[in-house]
Amino acid sequence: MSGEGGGAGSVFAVFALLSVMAVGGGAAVLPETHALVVDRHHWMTAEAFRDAYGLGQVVPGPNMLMVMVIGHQVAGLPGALAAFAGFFLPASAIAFAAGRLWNRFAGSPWRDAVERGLAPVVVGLMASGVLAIARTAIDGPATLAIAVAVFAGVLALRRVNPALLVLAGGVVGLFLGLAG
Amino acid sequence: MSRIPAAPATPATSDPATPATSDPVRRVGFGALFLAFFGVGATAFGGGVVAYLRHALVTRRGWIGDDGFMSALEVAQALPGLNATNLAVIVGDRLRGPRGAMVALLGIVLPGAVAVIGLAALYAAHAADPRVNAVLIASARRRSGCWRPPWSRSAGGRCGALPTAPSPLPRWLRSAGSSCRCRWCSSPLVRWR
Repeated sequence: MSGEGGGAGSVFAVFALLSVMAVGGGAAVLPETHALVVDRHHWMTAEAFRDAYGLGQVVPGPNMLMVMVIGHQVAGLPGALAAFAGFFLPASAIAFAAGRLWNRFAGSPWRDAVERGLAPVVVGLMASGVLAIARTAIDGPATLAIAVAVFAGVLALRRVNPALLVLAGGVVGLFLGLAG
Repeated sequence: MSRIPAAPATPATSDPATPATSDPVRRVGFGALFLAFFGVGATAFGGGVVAYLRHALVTRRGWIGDDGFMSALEVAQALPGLNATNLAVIVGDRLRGPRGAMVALLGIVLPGAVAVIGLAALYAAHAADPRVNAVLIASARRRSGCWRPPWSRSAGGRCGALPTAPSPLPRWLRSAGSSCRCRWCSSPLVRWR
């Protein structure tokens, strides 16, 4: 379980490295995370890594909070905090600096041009993420109906809190599951 | 986030339904800022945090306009790190400067961080007791649509060993639990001994 070369310091270093590699979101570095945590440092078994991933899925907020489970496994609470700091602080510092820099060019024509070009890229990236999830989550008429209903609900009732729709979807799923 | 007022709005972002709050950003209190991001962090289950953020910041509170949100999202997505936390940092900075960025980041990760530490401690404390972990993991697997882990690059294949556990549940619940099957290999999500 607890592996060689552990300690909160190396946890911080590993996740700081992963954090700055994570272009395109946390899921992009899951294979690298697995390789570093399981194969290279032997901090946890492949099974424990899967469990950590599962735990990251059940909590609200960014799914990559699973890094705290890994840190906890290696070095207890200090390890969890080190993983958190390593994974979030470097990337946040970069985002902070880049956001300010970008802001400085407000109103310049090339910035507007870049933004207009990036907008469809962002939409495309998010749509591809949605499709990837839909391929696993939609497996029949019932799930398709729920997805379409939520989509229409978000478009029609602009002010509805998405969390309520998630809750409603869960309730419907529960009843369908009980009936089926 | 000051745009040229005369800049023509792109058709994709101009939306008659939401009043396009012109971008001179409103002054937001630290408490309100924290609560807004904390609320998203506590309710955004299952990822898709960006959509929750847009609802909280643009639709509900009108703190930034559609253009401002899109611009921040573009920067957030082009950079390393999670889109949601990058977005929180950038928007927090725009609303209340560096301290605003910290408050927003803390707000969005704190609920999940506390929850995940609690779960990790529970998981570690019962490492020797397969029953608790079997329940924990079964619920986790159910949520994540079972197991073809995204880091395994090989397509297909079995979903790996499932924990077998002496069942802590009454019989009727047990059969309900084992009727959840994996989408890919149709093995039950948890096996009771």
